[in-house]
Amino acid sequence: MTNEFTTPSVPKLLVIDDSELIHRLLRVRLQHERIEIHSALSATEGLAKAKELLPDVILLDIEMDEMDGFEVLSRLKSDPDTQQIAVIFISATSDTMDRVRGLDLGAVDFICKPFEVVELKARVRSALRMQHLFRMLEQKAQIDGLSGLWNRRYFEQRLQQEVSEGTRHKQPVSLLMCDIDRFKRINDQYGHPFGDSVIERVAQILSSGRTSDIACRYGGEEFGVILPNTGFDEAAEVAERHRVAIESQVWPIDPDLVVTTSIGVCELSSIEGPKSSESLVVCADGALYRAKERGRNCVHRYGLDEAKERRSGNTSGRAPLA
Amino acid sequence: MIQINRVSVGRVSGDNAAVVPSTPLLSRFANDPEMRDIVALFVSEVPERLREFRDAWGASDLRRVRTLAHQIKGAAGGYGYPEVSTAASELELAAGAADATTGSARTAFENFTAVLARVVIAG
Repeated sequence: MTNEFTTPSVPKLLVIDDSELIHRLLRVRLQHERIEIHSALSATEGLAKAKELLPDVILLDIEMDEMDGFEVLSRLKSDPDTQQIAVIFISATSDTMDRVRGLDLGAVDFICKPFEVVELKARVRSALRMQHLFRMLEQKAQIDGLSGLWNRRYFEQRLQQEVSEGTRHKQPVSLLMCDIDRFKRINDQYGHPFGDSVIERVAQILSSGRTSDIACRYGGEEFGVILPNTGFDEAAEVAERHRVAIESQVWPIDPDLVVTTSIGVCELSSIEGPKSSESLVVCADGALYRAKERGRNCVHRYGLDEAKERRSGNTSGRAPLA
Repeated sequence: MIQINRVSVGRVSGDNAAVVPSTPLLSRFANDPEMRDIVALFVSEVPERLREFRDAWGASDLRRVRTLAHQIKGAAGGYGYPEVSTAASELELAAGAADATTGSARTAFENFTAVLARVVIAG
């Protein structure tokens, strides 16, 4: 599967404190922990590094000159990129209300300076553990249980992200919408457990393409594959490869069975009218619909194929599953 | 752990005007191998730190004194000098008080600088 499951990388810790003494101390005291330590000597530097590095945990000082730790925490929490980072306040202030305020603002823990080394390590470990579980849970909620692909919620979120990235960097973004042909017949004829295994197999094929492609289960027997930085022609080639791979699949349950898919392709810049993730889905889905109309088991390109088709009256691919 | 009589250091006491000879302050982590280098660095920076404090004090910049004291308070204990943290905490408090220019802040300042000046790596 090409899902971006967390590879066990070394967790990152960012220390935001305006005292060089604290940075030195923490580097030495945490040197044998399995963490990568980064330092920021001011609130501004800390916010910039948090966004750039996306650390797992931040140790945040409260009393800093230009901006205090509470303000830094509020800013981290209001930025979608950084809001999931676990923040531990580390402060020489022993005021209870400060601790309460920090925790209420969303900090996960509070360490008083000067700190006991064993306690510091234990609290950092605990925050990392919690962060790991949180990320796992978050990711689980975005994975489709049957196919192992990203689910629709993730699809929509990610497509929106890729569309805005592509628009910003003037790079193409393509989308494939892929549907298993006559899936109901497969279910009726071979039973639902087999139908499920067809979905699993098709999911495997769709996600075994290029590593940058993002295969998602859109719903039922329909899949969406996001192709970042991919032009229309290349996207159509990817779609055709998937179509052929699925069609060529041999099914042990019945050697004569051929499962086929129809695929609609669209590239963002080719859309007439507003270019958004929603319109990209609509256009790719429209192309998928046209592929079905054309007799299934084929790839249809949004906007392009109509003209060609009018000229030749052709349909591509084999006869669909009867 | 050596018990130090903090208030008697650096203060001229009464009529005999005898200054108690400064007892060296040892790091609690003097024998901790991983701490050796940064404790040495901490100690080597004491003269510079003292100068920073004296400059701020001399310029009547109490806000700066308070910030410096706050930073030392948070860190010194971690380097094995809890006495420095305690004196810094008192200075932070006194420097932040409304009547900071009066005697209590001066006492806290002198006490703190005297304690910091006694810092050594090991005996």
